[in-house]
Amino acid sequence: MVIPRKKIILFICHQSASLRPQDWQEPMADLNIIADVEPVLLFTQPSADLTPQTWFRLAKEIYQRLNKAEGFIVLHGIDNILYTSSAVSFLLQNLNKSIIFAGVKSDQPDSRKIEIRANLINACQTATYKLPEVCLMFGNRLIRASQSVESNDASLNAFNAPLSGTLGRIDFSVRIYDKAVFNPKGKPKLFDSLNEKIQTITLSPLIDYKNLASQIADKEGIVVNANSYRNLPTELINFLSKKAADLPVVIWNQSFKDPLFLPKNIITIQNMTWPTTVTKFMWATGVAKNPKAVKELMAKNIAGEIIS
Amino acid sequence: MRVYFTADNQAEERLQKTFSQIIDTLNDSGVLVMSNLANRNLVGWPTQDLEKIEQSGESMIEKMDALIIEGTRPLAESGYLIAIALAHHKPILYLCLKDKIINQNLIHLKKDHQAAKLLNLEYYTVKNLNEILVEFLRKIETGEGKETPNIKFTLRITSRIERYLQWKTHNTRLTKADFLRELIEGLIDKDKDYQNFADKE
Repeated sequence: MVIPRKKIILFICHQSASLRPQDWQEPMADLNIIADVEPVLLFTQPSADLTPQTWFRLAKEIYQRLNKAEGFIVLHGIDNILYTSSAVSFLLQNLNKSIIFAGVKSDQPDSRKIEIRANLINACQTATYKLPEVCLMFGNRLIRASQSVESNDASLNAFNAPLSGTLGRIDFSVRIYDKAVFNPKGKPKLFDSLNEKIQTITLSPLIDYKNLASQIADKEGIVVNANSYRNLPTELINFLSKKAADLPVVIWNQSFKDPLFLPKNIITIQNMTWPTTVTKFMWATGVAKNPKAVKELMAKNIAGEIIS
Repeated sequence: MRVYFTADNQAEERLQKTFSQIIDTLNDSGVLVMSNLANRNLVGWPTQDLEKIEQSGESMIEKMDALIIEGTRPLAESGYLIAIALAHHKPILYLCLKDKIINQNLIHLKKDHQAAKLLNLEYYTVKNLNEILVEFLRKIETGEGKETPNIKFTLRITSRIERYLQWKTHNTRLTKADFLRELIEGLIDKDKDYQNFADKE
């Protein structure tokens, strides 16, 4: 009997007291039953310290190895994983290989050990399939990274996604849903710019608009998290209306009943998650030359991120 | 006892008969068999249990007592199943017809101290197949190979230790006894002097 040997590259993007090198080194023997797994150390700090420079570095390292492996696994801490994975899905487009983010949710040392082992084995098996997506593998679900949100329940499924973002499940094997398997429309493309001059604002009654004006003086875009609001403060609308003439402004709110009352040049986002909105905006403002073009890109489905 | 049995469902009729023989022998021994073969997958699972497993994030194989693979014909998922079963400390029986060759990667895996305890590679003929299956079930039930904790002893602990165990296992899937067993297993694995001693024995 010959088990086909496929090459998988495992990027390590997180190291902490709770996820030590031996935690991913110990399962290597098990992983190597499935494929030839080559580990690459990329970031040896806790993932909470990750910055956009590492997102870009990760995308670049994967891009350079696209022809050298069947698939890629990224071992990442829970912190920032939704930002990193979403950013990678915009930086690397027309993917022809799987990029599977995995990690560990449990705080208990004993259950952590088996959870990381099982998640890595599941990720490794998935990475050998033709699934051109950036996904998360936690517990018994495979979900699209750019549609994922953190789960607060006590299960091993650390993240949830709507039906449109659920790509497969684990029972006695990894079962990929037919809808998830497709052929990319062109050659893989690496984008070399993510605009970091973005101001993120979380709406609260404490916002000091004078202070905010000075904070955004050198920014090239504003993205407002207004998800806990039904109606926006009048002062904010006035403030953003002036700013939106010169630079792109996004308001993220998943519960707006009628966003039409906002000025036309403000982009409202209702059908994406917050980390995806931020990273897509960084990508769009890096690529597009003017606010109108940014608006068009934000409305376009780039990496399966729009929740239907 | 629940066993997951997997084999190449596209195999020739002669092998398909052997697969049926394996399932029949297991059923006759009182084993609930789940399989990738037609009409066998998830038979016997109450819907409520399936929903619970789905919600908990666990995989089905965690709920099995053992894995049996008929590997005479190449099976793409066997590597994955073996890896995940080993991760969950489940005993594995890998069967291969006597005149065929078992993959070198699996033979190599037998050199691993931990894997060797769980992984059983067996060549079989139609004549001795039942015997191998029954022996494997006996090993699981008696704790041989799987190392089921079947030795009982009384341990008196202080209230401080009791309090710690309570705190440590609260809201986890571990019992206090599981926690202590895993702690000791961890100590054994890290104890190089003991490993040397055990290897010599």
